[in-house]
Amino acid sequence: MTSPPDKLFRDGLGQYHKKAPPSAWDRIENNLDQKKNHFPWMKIAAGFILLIAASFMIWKQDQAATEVSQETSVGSELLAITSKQLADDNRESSVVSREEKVEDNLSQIIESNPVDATVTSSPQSKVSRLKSPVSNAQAINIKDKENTPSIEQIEIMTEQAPIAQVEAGSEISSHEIVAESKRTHFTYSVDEVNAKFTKQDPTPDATSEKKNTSGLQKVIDRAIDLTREESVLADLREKKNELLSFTILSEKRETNK
Amino acid sequence: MNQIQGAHSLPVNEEQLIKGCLRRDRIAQKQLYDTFSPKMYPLCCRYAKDPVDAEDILVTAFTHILERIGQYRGEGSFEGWIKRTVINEALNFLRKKRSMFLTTSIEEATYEMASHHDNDPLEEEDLLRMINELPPGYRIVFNLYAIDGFSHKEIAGQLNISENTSKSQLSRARVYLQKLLAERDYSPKHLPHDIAS
Repeated sequence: MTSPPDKLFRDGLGQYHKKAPPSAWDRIENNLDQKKNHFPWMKIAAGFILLIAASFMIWKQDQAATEVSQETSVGSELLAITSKQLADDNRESSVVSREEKVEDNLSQIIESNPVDATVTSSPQSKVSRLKSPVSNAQAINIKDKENTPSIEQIEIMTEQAPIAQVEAGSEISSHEIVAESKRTHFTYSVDEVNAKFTKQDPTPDATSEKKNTSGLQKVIDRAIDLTREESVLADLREKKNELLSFTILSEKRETNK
Repeated sequence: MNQIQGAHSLPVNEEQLIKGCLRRDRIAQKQLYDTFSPKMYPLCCRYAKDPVDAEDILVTAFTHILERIGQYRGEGSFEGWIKRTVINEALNFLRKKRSMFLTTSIEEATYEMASHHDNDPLEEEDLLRMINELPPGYRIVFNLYAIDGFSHKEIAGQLNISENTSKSQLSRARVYLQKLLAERDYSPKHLPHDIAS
Protein backbone atom coordinates (compact mmCIF):
# COMPACT_ATOMS: atom_id res chain seq x y z
CA MET A 1 0.00 0.00 0.00
CA THR A 2 1.42 3.28 -0.98
CA SER A 3 -1.44 5.62 -0.28
CA PRO A 4 -1.33 7.29 3.06
CA PRO A 5 -3.65 5.81 5.65
CA ASP A 6 -5.04 9.23 6.56
CA LYS A 7 -8.38 8.76 4.91
CA LEU A 8 -8.79 5.32 6.36
CA PHE A 9 -8.34 6.47 9.89
CA ARG A 10 -10.23 9.70 9.36
CA ASP A 11 -13.25 7.99 8.01
CA GLY A 12 -13.06 5.18 10.50
CA LEU A 13 -12.49 7.25 13.60
CA GLY A 14 -13.74 10.72 12.66
CA GLN A 15 -17.38 9.88 13.40
CA TYR A 16 -16.73 7.16 15.91
CA HIS A 17 -19.17 7.27 18.82
CA LYS A 18 -18.32 5.63 22.07
CA LYS A 19 -20.08 6.05 25.37
CA ALA A 20 -17.95 7.30 28.23
CA PRO A 21 -17.87 5.47 31.56
CA PRO A 22 -20.70 6.52 33.96
CA SER A 23 -18.16 7.68 36.50
CA ALA A 24 -17.14 10.49 34.14
CA TRP A 25 -20.40 12.41 34.58
CA ASP A 26 -20.34 11.91 38.34
CA ARG A 27 -16.92 13.49 38.51
CA ILE A 28 -18.02 16.37 36.31
CA GLU A 29 -21.04 16.95 38.50
CA ASN A 30 -18.89 16.99 41.62
CA ASN A 31 -16.55 19.49 40.04
CA LEU A 32 -19.44 21.75 39.13
CA ASP A 33 -20.90 21.55 42.64
CA GLN A 34 -17.58 22.33 44.26
CA LYS A 35 -16.97 25.34 42.10
CA LYS A 36 -20.51 26.50 42.66
CA ASN A 37 -20.04 26.43 46.45
CA HIS A 38 -16.58 27.92 46.52
CA PHE A 39 -17.33 31.10 44.62
CA PRO A 40 -19.64 32.73 47.16
CA TRP A 41 -17.14 32.14 49.92
CA MET A 42 -14.36 33.65 47.90
CA LYS A 43 -16.47 36.65 47.04
CA ILE A 44 -17.53 37.10 50.63
CA ALA A 45 -13.95 36.80 51.85
CA ALA A 46 -12.72 39.25 49.25
CA GLY A 47 -15.46 41.70 50.14
CA PHE A 48 -14.68 41.38 53.83
CA ILE A 49 -11.00 42.03 53.26
CA LEU A 50 -11.79 45.11 51.20
CA LEU A 51 -14.12 46.35 53.90
CA ILE A 52 -11.47 45.95 56.57
CA ALA A 53 -8.88 47.72 54.45
CA ALA A 54 -11.22 50.62 53.72
CA SER A 55 -12.22 50.93 57.38
CA PHE A 56 -8.59 50.94 58.42
CA MET A 57 -7.75 53.71 56.00
CA ILE A 58 -10.69 55.81 57.11
CA TRP A 59 -9.80 55.25 60.74
CA LYS A 60 -6.24 56.38 60.09
CA GLN A 61 -7.43 59.55 58.46
CA ASP A 62 -9.85 60.23 61.29
CA GLN A 63 -7.12 59.69 63.81
CA ALA A 64 -4.88 62.24 62.17
CA ALA A 65 -7.71 64.72 61.89
CA THR A 66 -8.72 64.12 65.51
CA GLU A 67 -5.25 64.87 66.77
CA VAL A 68 -5.23 68.17 64.98
CA SER A 69 -8.68 69.09 66.18
CA GLN A 70 -7.83 68.11 69.74
CA GLU A 71 -4.79 70.34 69.79
CA THR A 72 -6.68 73.25 68.38
CA SER A 73 -9.64 72.67 70.68
CA VAL A 74 -7.37 72.60 73.71
CA GLY A 75 -5.83 75.83 72.64
CA SER A 76 -9.16 77.44 71.92
CA GLU A 77 -10.55 76.24 75.22
CA LEU A 78 -7.63 77.69 77.06
CA LEU A 79 -7.99 80.91 75.18
CA ALA A 80 -11.63 81.04 76.12
CA ILE A 81 -10.84 80.40 79.74
CA THR A 82 -8.14 83.00 79.90
CA SER A 83 -10.16 85.63 78.14
CA LYS A 84 -13.02 84.98 80.46
CA GLN A 85 -10.83 85.31 83.46
CA LEU A 86 -9.37 88.52 82.25
CA ALA A 87 -12.75 90.01 81.52
CA ASP A 88 -14.04 89.21 84.97
CA ASP A 89 -13.20 92.02 87.43
CA ASN A 90 -13.78 89.85 90.43
CA ARG A 91 -11.35 87.33 89.23
CA GLU A 92 -7.64 87.47 89.55
CA SER A 93 -5.77 90.38 88.15
CA SER A 94 -3.49 89.24 85.48
CA VAL A 95 -0.13 90.74 85.34
CA VAL A 96 2.59 90.54 82.84
CA SER A 97 4.58 87.42 82.26
CA ARG A 98 7.49 89.73 82.21
CA GLU A 99 7.39 90.14 85.91
CA GLU A 100 11.00 91.08 85.86
CA LYS A 101 10.20 94.30 84.05
CA VAL A 102 7.44 95.00 86.47
CA GLU A 103 9.68 94.29 89.33
CA ASP A 104 12.37 96.50 87.91
CA ASN A 105 9.99 99.32 87.28
CA LEU A 106 8.48 99.08 90.65
CA SER A 107 11.85 98.73 92.16
CA GLN A 108 12.89 101.88 90.42
CA ILE A 109 9.86 103.60 91.68
CA ILE A 110 10.53 102.41 95.14
CA GLU A 111 14.12 103.39 94.95
CA SER A 112 13.16 106.85 93.94
CA ASN A 113 11.26 107.02 97.15
CA PRO A 114 13.01 106.25 100.33
CA VAL A 115 10.90 103.40 101.39
CA ASP A 116 11.83 100.13 102.51
CA ALA A 117 9.92 97.77 100.43
CA THR A 118 10.50 94.64 98.64
CA VAL A 119 8.85 93.28 95.69
CA THR A 120 8.78 89.66 95.41
CA SER A 121 7.25 87.26 93.09
CA SER A 122 7.18 83.62 93.27
CA PRO A 123 7.03 81.57 90.18
CA GLN A 124 5.86 78.67 92.19
CA SER A 125 3.00 80.63 93.56
CA LYS A 126 2.18 81.80 90.11
CA VAL A 127 1.82 78.29 88.88
CA SER A 128 -0.30 77.28 91.75
CA ARG A 129 -2.55 80.25 91.33
CA LEU A 130 -2.95 79.52 87.71
CA LYS A 131 -4.38 76.20 88.55
CA SER A 132 -6.85 77.73 90.94
CA PRO A 133 -7.83 81.23 90.03
CA VAL A 134 -7.60 83.72 92.74
CA SER A 135 -10.75 85.48 93.59
CA ASN A 136 -9.37 88.65 94.97
CA ALA A 137 -6.68 90.81 93.59
CA GLN A 138 -4.12 91.83 96.02
CA ALA A 139 -3.50 95.43 96.60
CA ILE A 140 0.01 96.46 96.45
CA ASN A 141 0.96 98.13 99.65
CA ILE A 142 4.36 99.44 100.13
CA LYS A 143 5.03 101.16 103.30
CA ASP A 144 8.12 102.50 104.69
CA LYS A 145 9.75 101.47 107.80
CA GLU A 146 8.50 104.20 109.89
CA ASN A 147 4.87 103.83 109.46
CA THR A 148 4.37 100.28 108.83
CA PRO A 149 6.99 97.72 109.31
CA SER A 150 5.02 95.16 107.46
CA ILE A 151 5.62 94.89 103.87
CA GLU A 152 3.24 92.93 101.85
CA GLN A 153 4.20 91.02 98.88
CA ILE A 154 3.21 92.08 95.53
CA GLU A 155 1.45 89.14 94.12
CA ILE A 156 2.19 88.92 90.54
CA MET A 157 0.11 86.61 88.38
CA THR A 158 1.39 85.20 85.17
CA GLU A 159 -0.59 85.99 82.20
CA GLN A 160 -2.41 83.09 80.59
CA ALA A 161 -2.80 84.62 77.18
CA PRO A 162 -0.89 87.12 75.20
CA ILE A 163 -3.91 89.33 75.29
CA ALA A 164 -2.91 90.98 78.47
CA GLN A 165 0.63 92.02 78.87
CA VAL A 166 2.12 94.44 81.20
CA GLU A 167 3.83 97.41 80.03
CA ALA A 168 4.73 98.77 83.30
CA GLY A 169 7.37 100.96 82.01
CA SER A 170 5.06 102.92 79.82
CA GLU A 171 2.07 102.85 82.01
CA ILE A 172 3.56 103.74 85.24
CA SER A 173 4.50 107.30 85.37
CA SER A 174 6.26 108.92 88.14
CA HIS A 175 3.65 111.52 88.67
CA GLU A 176 1.20 108.86 89.64
CA ILE A 177 3.41 107.78 92.41
CA VAL A 178 3.73 110.70 94.56
CA ALA A 179 5.64 110.61 97.67
CA GLU A 180 3.77 112.95 99.80
CA SER A 181 6.04 112.33 102.58
CA LYS A 182 8.61 109.97 103.67
CA ARG A 183 5.90 107.60 104.27
CA THR A 184 5.03 106.55 100.81
CA HIS A 185 2.01 104.48 100.42
CA PHE A 186 1.15 102.92 97.13
CA THR A 187 -2.20 101.34 96.86
CA TYR A 188 -3.54 100.00 93.65
CA SER A 189 -6.95 98.71 93.17
CA VAL A 190 -7.86 95.97 90.75
CA ASP A 191 -9.02 98.40 88.13
CA GLU A 192 -5.88 100.38 88.43
CA VAL A 193 -3.73 97.35 88.17
CA ASN A 194 -5.67 96.23 85.13
CA ALA A 195 -5.46 99.68 83.63
CA LYS A 196 -1.85 100.20 84.41
CA PHE A 197 -0.45 96.80 84.06
CA THR A 198 -2.77 95.30 81.54
CA LYS A 199 -2.76 96.04 77.89
CA GLN A 200 -5.84 95.08 75.93
CA ASP A 201 -4.28 95.15 72.54
CA PRO A 202 -0.84 93.93 72.88
CA THR A 203 1.57 94.40 70.12
CA PRO A 204 2.92 91.21 68.73
CA ASP A 205 6.33 90.07 69.68
CA ALA A 206 9.15 91.43 67.72
CA THR A 207 10.67 88.03 67.40
CA SER A 208 9.29 84.58 67.31
CA GLU A 209 11.47 83.46 70.12
CA LYS A 210 9.66 81.49 72.66
CA LYS A 211 9.47 82.97 76.07
CA ASN A 212 10.70 81.19 79.06
CA THR A 213 7.29 80.27 80.27
CA SER A 214 5.68 77.47 82.17
CA GLY A 215 4.47 74.26 80.59
CA LEU A 216 0.88 75.40 80.40
CA GLN A 217 1.93 78.64 78.77
CA LYS A 218 3.81 76.66 76.20
CA VAL A 219 0.75 74.60 75.45
CA ILE A 220 -1.31 77.74 75.05
CA ASP A 221 1.27 79.26 72.78
CA ARG A 222 1.34 76.11 70.74
CA ALA A 223 -2.42 76.09 70.42
CA ILE A 224 -2.38 79.68 69.26
CA ASP A 225 0.26 78.81 66.73
CA LEU A 226 -1.84 75.96 65.47
CA THR A 227 -4.83 78.17 64.98
CA ARG A 228 -2.76 80.62 63.06
CA GLU A 229 -0.79 78.13 61.12
CA GLU A 230 -2.32 76.58 58.09
CA SER A 231 -0.74 73.22 58.50
CA VAL A 232 0.00 71.11 61.48
CA LEU A 233 3.33 70.39 59.91
CA ALA A 234 4.50 73.97 60.34
CA ASP A 235 6.46 72.98 63.40
CA LEU A 236 8.15 70.21 61.54
CA ARG A 237 8.76 72.48 58.62
CA GLU A 238 10.37 75.02 60.92
CA LYS A 239 12.61 72.38 62.40
CA LYS A 240 13.54 71.17 58.98
CA ASN A 241 14.45 74.64 57.87
CA GLU A 242 16.57 75.11 60.95
CA LEU A 243 18.33 71.86 60.28
CA LEU A 244 18.91 72.72 56.64
CA SER A 245 20.24 76.15 57.51
CA PHE A 246 22.57 74.56 60.01
CA THR A 247 23.69 72.04 57.43
CA ILE A 248 24.31 74.71 54.84
CA LEU A 249 26.23 76.78 57.32
CA SER A 250 28.41 73.88 58.30
CA GLU A 251 29.06 73.09 54.64
CA LYS A 252 30.03 76.66 53.98
CA ARG A 253 32.45 76.59 56.85
CA GLU A 254 34.02 73.47 55.48
CA THR A 255 34.38 74.94 52.01
CA ASN A 256 35.87 78.11 53.39
CA LYS A 257 38.46 76.06 55.18
CA MET B 1 -34.48 36.34 18.61
CA ASN B 2 -31.36 34.29 18.82
CA GLN B 3 -29.37 35.89 21.60
CA ILE B 4 -26.18 34.13 20.63
CA GLN B 5 -25.28 35.94 17.47
CA GLY B 6 -22.51 34.61 15.35
CA ALA B 7 -21.51 33.46 11.91
CA HIS B 8 -23.69 30.38 12.24
CA SER B 9 -27.26 30.20 13.38
CA LEU B 10 -27.63 27.50 15.94
CA PRO B 11 -30.27 24.83 15.84
CA VAL B 12 -33.13 25.63 18.16
CA ASN B 13 -32.35 22.73 20.48
CA GLU B 14 -28.70 23.76 20.72
CA GLU B 15 -29.63 27.34 21.48
CA GLN B 16 -31.96 26.24 24.25
CA LEU B 17 -29.27 23.94 25.54
CA ILE B 18 -26.72 26.74 25.75
CA LYS B 19 -29.17 29.07 27.45
CA GLY B 20 -29.90 26.41 30.03
CA CYS B 21 -26.21 25.86 30.67
CA LEU B 22 -25.72 29.60 31.07
CA ARG B 23 -28.35 29.49 33.81
CA ARG B 24 -26.39 26.66 35.43
CA ASP B 25 -29.37 24.37 34.90
CA ARG B 26 -28.16 20.87 35.79
CA ILE B 27 -30.60 19.16 33.45
CA ALA B 28 -29.38 21.24 30.51
CA GLN B 29 -25.78 20.57 31.49
CA LYS B 30 -26.41 16.83 31.59
CA GLN B 31 -28.15 16.97 28.27
CA LEU B 32 -25.21 18.79 26.70
CA TYR B 33 -22.83 16.19 28.08
CA ASP B 34 -24.96 13.32 26.80
CA THR B 35 -25.16 14.94 23.37
CA PHE B 36 -21.47 15.51 22.80
CA SER B 37 -19.57 13.11 25.07
CA PRO B 38 -20.03 10.03 22.81
CA LYS B 39 -18.08 11.87 20.10
CA MET B 40 -15.53 13.40 22.40
CA TYR B 41 -14.67 10.32 24.41
CA PRO B 42 -13.18 8.45 21.39
CA LEU B 43 -11.23 11.58 20.59
CA CYS B 44 -9.75 11.47 24.08
CA CYS B 45 -8.96 7.80 23.57
CA ARG B 46 -7.03 8.65 20.41
CA TYR B 47 -4.79 11.10 22.21
CA ALA B 48 -4.34 9.21 25.47
CA LYS B 49 -3.21 5.65 25.24
CA ASP B 50 -4.51 4.77 28.68
CA PRO B 51 -8.34 4.68 29.05
CA VAL B 52 -8.02 6.13 32.53
CA ASP B 53 -6.16 9.11 31.11
CA ALA B 54 -8.81 9.44 28.40
CA GLU B 55 -11.52 9.69 31.07
CA ASP B 56 -9.52 12.30 32.97
CA ILE B 57 -9.22 14.39 29.85
CA LEU B 58 -12.95 14.10 29.18
CA VAL B 59 -13.90 15.11 32.73
CA THR B 60 -11.60 18.11 32.77
CA ALA B 61 -12.70 19.22 29.32
CA PHE B 62 -16.43 19.08 30.03
CA THR B 63 -16.01 20.75 33.40
CA HIS B 64 -14.38 23.64 31.62
CA ILE B 65 -16.97 23.64 28.87
CA LEU B 66 -19.87 23.82 31.31
CA GLU B 67 -18.16 26.44 33.44
CA ARG B 68 -17.04 28.64 30.58
CA ILE B 69 -19.92 28.18 28.19
CA GLY B 70 -20.35 31.93 28.18
CA GLN B 71 -17.12 32.18 26.24
CA TYR B 72 -18.75 30.70 23.16
CA ARG B 73 -19.57 33.74 21.04
CA GLY B 74 -21.21 31.94 18.17
CA GLU B 75 -18.12 32.02 16.00
CA GLY B 76 -18.02 28.68 14.22
CA SER B 77 -20.08 25.65 15.09
CA PHE B 78 -20.80 24.83 18.69
CA GLU B 79 -19.52 21.29 18.19
CA GLY B 80 -16.32 22.67 16.70
CA TRP B 81 -15.87 24.86 19.81
CA ILE B 82 -16.37 21.86 22.06
CA LYS B 83 -13.97 19.76 19.98
CA ARG B 84 -11.23 22.39 20.12
CA THR B 85 -11.70 22.65 23.89
CA VAL B 86 -11.33 18.89 24.31
CA ILE B 87 -8.24 18.74 22.09
CA ASN B 88 -6.62 21.58 24.05
CA GLU B 89 -7.30 19.77 27.28
CA ALA B 90 -5.81 16.59 25.80
CA LEU B 91 -2.64 18.39 24.80
CA ASN B 92 -2.40 20.07 28.19
CA PHE B 93 -2.78 16.72 29.88
CA LEU B 94 -0.10 15.11 27.77
CA ARG B 95 2.17 18.09 28.25
CA LYS B 96 1.87 17.80 32.01
CA LYS B 97 2.43 14.09 31.81
CA ARG B 98 5.44 14.74 29.62
CA SER B 99 4.11 12.35 27.04
CA MET B 100 4.66 14.63 24.13
CA PHE B 101 8.22 13.77 23.34
CA LEU B 102 8.66 13.42 19.66
CA THR B 103 10.39 10.37 18.31
CA THR B 104 13.06 11.29 15.87
CA SER B 105 13.46 8.07 14.04
CA ILE B 106 11.19 5.24 13.30
CA GLU B 107 13.74 2.75 14.52
CA GLU B 108 13.26 4.07 18.05
CA ALA B 109 9.59 3.34 17.96
CA THR B 110 8.49 -0.02 19.14
CA TYR B 111 5.26 -1.54 18.22
CA GLU B 112 3.36 -4.60 18.99
CA MET B 113 2.14 -7.03 16.48
CA ALA B 114 -1.53 -6.76 15.88
CA SER B 115 -3.46 -9.41 17.67
CA HIS B 116 -5.50 -10.21 14.61
CA HIS B 117 -3.86 -11.72 11.61
CA ASP B 118 -6.88 -12.86 9.73
CA ASN B 119 -9.19 -10.98 7.47
CA ASP B 120 -11.60 -9.81 10.10
CA PRO B 121 -13.09 -6.45 9.24
CA LEU B 122 -11.33 -3.55 10.63
CA GLU B 123 -13.47 -1.98 13.20
CA GLU B 124 -13.16 1.28 14.81
CA GLU B 125 -11.61 -0.28 17.86
CA ASP B 126 -8.93 -1.84 15.71
CA LEU B 127 -8.08 1.48 14.18
CA LEU B 128 -8.08 3.02 17.61
CA ARG B 129 -5.77 0.33 18.83
CA MET B 130 -3.35 0.98 15.95
CA ILE B 131 -3.37 4.68 16.70
CA ASN B 132 -2.54 3.93 20.33
CA GLU B 133 0.38 1.83 19.27
CA LEU B 134 2.06 4.84 17.76
CA PRO B 135 4.72 6.63 19.79
CA PRO B 136 3.31 9.70 21.50
CA GLY B 137 4.78 12.26 19.12
CA TYR B 138 3.61 10.39 16.01
CA ARG B 139 0.20 9.80 17.51
CA ILE B 140 -0.42 13.42 18.39
CA VAL B 141 0.66 14.81 15.03
CA PHE B 142 -1.24 12.16 13.10
CA ASN B 143 -4.40 12.78 15.12
CA LEU B 144 -4.15 16.54 14.69
CA TYR B 145 -3.44 16.46 11.01
CA ALA B 146 -5.05 13.37 9.58
CA ILE B 147 -8.18 13.04 11.70
CA ASP B 148 -8.87 16.44 13.30
CA GLY B 149 -7.90 18.56 10.31
CA PHE B 150 -5.25 20.92 11.66
CA SER B 151 -2.58 22.34 9.37
CA HIS B 152 1.11 21.89 9.96
CA LYS B 153 1.34 25.55 10.85
CA GLU B 154 -1.33 25.18 13.51
CA ILE B 155 0.26 22.00 14.79
CA ALA B 156 3.63 23.71 15.01
CA GLY B 157 2.07 26.51 17.03
CA GLN B 158 0.26 24.11 19.33
CA LEU B 159 3.24 21.88 20.01
CA ASN B 160 5.88 24.56 19.81
CA ILE B 161 7.73 22.83 17.03
CA SER B 162 8.64 23.76 13.50
CA GLU B 163 6.46 22.94 10.56
CA ASN B 164 9.16 20.67 9.16
CA THR B 165 9.20 18.70 12.38
CA SER B 166 5.44 18.36 12.20
CA LYS B 167 5.72 17.08 8.63
CA SER B 168 8.42 14.60 9.48
CA GLN B 169 6.46 13.30 12.44
CA LEU B 170 3.41 12.83 10.26
CA SER B 171 5.43 11.02 7.66
CA ARG B 172 6.83 8.65 10.20
CA ALA B 173 3.42 8.04 11.67
CA ARG B 174 2.07 7.07 8.29
CA VAL B 175 4.88 4.63 7.71
CA TYR B 176 4.30 3.11 11.09
CA LEU B 177 0.58 2.70 10.54
CA GLN B 178 1.12 1.19 7.12
CA LYS B 179 3.35 -1.40 8.65
CA LEU B 180 0.68 -2.18 11.20
CA LEU B 181 -1.95 -2.39 8.54
CA ALA B 182 0.26 -4.63 6.47
CA GLU B 183 0.79 -6.93 9.35
CA ARG B 184 -2.92 -6.87 9.86
CA ASP B 185 -3.21 -7.91 6.28
CA TYR B 186 -5.39 -4.87 5.66
CA SER B 187 -7.82 -4.89 2.82
CA PRO B 188 -10.24 -2.03 2.07
CA LYS B 189 -13.09 -4.41 1.58
CA HIS B 190 -12.82 -5.44 5.17
CA LEU B 191 -13.72 -2.04 6.51
CA PRO B 192 -17.19 -1.65 7.95
CA HIS B 193 -17.71 1.47 5.84
CA ASP B 194 -17.62 1.68 2.14
CA ILE B 195 -14.38 3.61 1.86
CA ALA B 196 -12.72 4.24 -1.44
CA SER B 197 -8.98 4.02 -1.18
